Amino acid sequence: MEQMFTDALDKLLSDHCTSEVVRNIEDSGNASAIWQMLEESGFGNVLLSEDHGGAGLILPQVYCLFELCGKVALPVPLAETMIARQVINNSGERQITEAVTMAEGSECKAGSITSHVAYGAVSELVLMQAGASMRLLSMADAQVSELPFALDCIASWPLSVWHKADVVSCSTDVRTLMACVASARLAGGMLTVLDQSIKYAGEREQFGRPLSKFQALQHMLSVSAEQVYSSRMAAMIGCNSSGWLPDRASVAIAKANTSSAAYKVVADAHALHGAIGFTEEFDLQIYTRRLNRDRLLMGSESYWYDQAGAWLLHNNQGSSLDAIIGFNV
Amino acid sequence: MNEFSTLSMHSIPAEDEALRLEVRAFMREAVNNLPMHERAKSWSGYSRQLSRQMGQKGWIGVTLPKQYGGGERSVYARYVIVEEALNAGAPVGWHWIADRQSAPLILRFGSEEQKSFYIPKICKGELAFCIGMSEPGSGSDLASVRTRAQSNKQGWLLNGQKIWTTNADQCQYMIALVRTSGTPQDRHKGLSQFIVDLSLPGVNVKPIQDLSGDSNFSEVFFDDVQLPHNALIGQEGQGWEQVTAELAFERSGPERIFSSIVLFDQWLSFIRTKEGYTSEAQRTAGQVLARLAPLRAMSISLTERLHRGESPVTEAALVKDLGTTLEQDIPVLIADDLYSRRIESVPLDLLLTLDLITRIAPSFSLRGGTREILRGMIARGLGLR
Repeated sequence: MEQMFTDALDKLLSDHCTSEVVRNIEDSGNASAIWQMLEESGFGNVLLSEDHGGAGLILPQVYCLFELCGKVALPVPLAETMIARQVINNSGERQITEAVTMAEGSECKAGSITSHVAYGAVSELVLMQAGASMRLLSMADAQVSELPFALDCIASWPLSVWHKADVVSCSTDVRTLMACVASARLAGGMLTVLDQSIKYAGEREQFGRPLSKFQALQHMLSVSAEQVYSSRMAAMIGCNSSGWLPDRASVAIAKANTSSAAYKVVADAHALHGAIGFTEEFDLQIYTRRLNRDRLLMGSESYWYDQAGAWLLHNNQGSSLDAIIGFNV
Repeated sequence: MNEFSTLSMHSIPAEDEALRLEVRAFMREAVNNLPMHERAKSWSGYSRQLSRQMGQKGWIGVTLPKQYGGGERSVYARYVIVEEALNAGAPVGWHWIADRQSAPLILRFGSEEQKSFYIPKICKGELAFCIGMSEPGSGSDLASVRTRAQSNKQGWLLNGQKIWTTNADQCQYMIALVRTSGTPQDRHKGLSQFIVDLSLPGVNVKPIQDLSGDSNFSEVFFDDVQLPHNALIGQEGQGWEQVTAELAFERSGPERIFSSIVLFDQWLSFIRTKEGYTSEAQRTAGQVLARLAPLRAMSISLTERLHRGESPVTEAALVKDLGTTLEQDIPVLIADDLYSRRIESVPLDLLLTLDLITRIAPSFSLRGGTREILRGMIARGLGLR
């Protein structure tokens, strides 16, 4: 069944999410056309139960959908929306039809909740966690400053708005939820970048032969492939759950591994492509900029090493094998 | 898309997972009197007695047919046994090669006579094998072997030399890859495999002391060794195909992930104490865990492919290169952590294990196909060659 969903989204995105569309949305901040198309497809609701108009999928079944969002550099928070809608529905049976991203905020400036909102520029709602509480905020109520990554923004809401917003209850924190999604998206982005590098290595000739015939570059790409496929496995661990909620230790493995792989895969892809990969016009940057962003989103590799390490030291007393056996059940 | 995209999540079937507790209790008992730096040798450690006990338990040749003394269980059952042995640091080296490679090879390519002679004894833990591959002029370039078996009336006359043969001084038989026709220029053609009884006249085994002080590998000389007709295994001239058929088994197992695990666990015990805990060490532990967990998941994914009768050789190359890299990084990371402290506060037995693993770590990425060979295979899998 999940293969059917994956194939359908793959087709939809390869038809509608071209690099031209990605560029246009980044330039204009207007993603309504692609979002409307996705909304009509129903993919935002796949984690909802069938009674609530969804497909009743569980987390491992949507891994490939998350990954596809990264593969095509989808410039809207479809993966976040899938999780957030189920969190909201589960908490209060409220049905959401808008694009909803997730973010963490704090009262760093008195009187308001401020947050770095990934996809803030192309979302209508934000599932916001500040301290221990989670609420659903509207981007329309926020004061917004742009960030270098075009789809993200710094947003702040007056405390009065925060306190009036709907409370959402969830046993898992926003950081874990979104890191789970970001890991799968990183794996997808890395798959695309590796494919682009392999293709380019076959086409580009220097010294009378394609780059792919130079052993140094073959080995560089082999090491990149090791990074890509092992971190993809880690991202799958992040989505390994018997329900729709991820497990925090599994996500720590996923995000730590994908974040650490991402910067290496990006570096090798740029090294291989040379100057052409450094241009705006060439598509490589669409993916590598996102990989750099998602690497840091909801915690860099070291943040998650700390989390994984704390879990290993304090929640396990036996061997490391016993600790990791649980990830494969 | 390429073959690596088949790597996905699988779990060990419950009936095989059920073996774990009994195996664990047995292995714990087996290593009880061994110091940690001896346990850390893992499958480089030998104990004939342990191998015989494991044979009695039915834990050698567990995947082989009952007809030949095997357990007729799935590859997952073997995975659980091996994983527990490695993680306990049990010295399983004596029967290791026979269990992993020789018995399956004999089962697949051997004659009925060979199967019923060798396999039951292997399963009992009574026969140990080594693999005769490398020669002084043929390391990674295996197809250039020169050792030759010449057909004669009584069978085959063997002349030449093997080197870096793991376990040769400990075991009774070698499965050797040698030339039966042509010259080294003919490469993969004209190679055949023989089961060589190492007690025959003309065989001379000379252990080589390695940098850790052990003699795990040897030189083996063949001087007019007369082999019987039935020493040939499989078909004459098919040696290369027979050798490569088993590579996925050799490269995808837990032994490519867990070679430094005894050290890692010993270090974890230290940093779990009040004296040993630092936030830097905790971060390092997390970094290792974040690499270890997906490696095991990949290794299990390859086991699933083997279980289905496939031979994921290229994917196994990827997992082995990643796995041995982690195995080699573990002593580096732990040394960096421990020697950024007051070293007298670190338990001596932990330092001894660290020293042992640091010394033997270079071999992790040499044995079973070097890093450079594996990366060449991965590149081919990516369509680059």
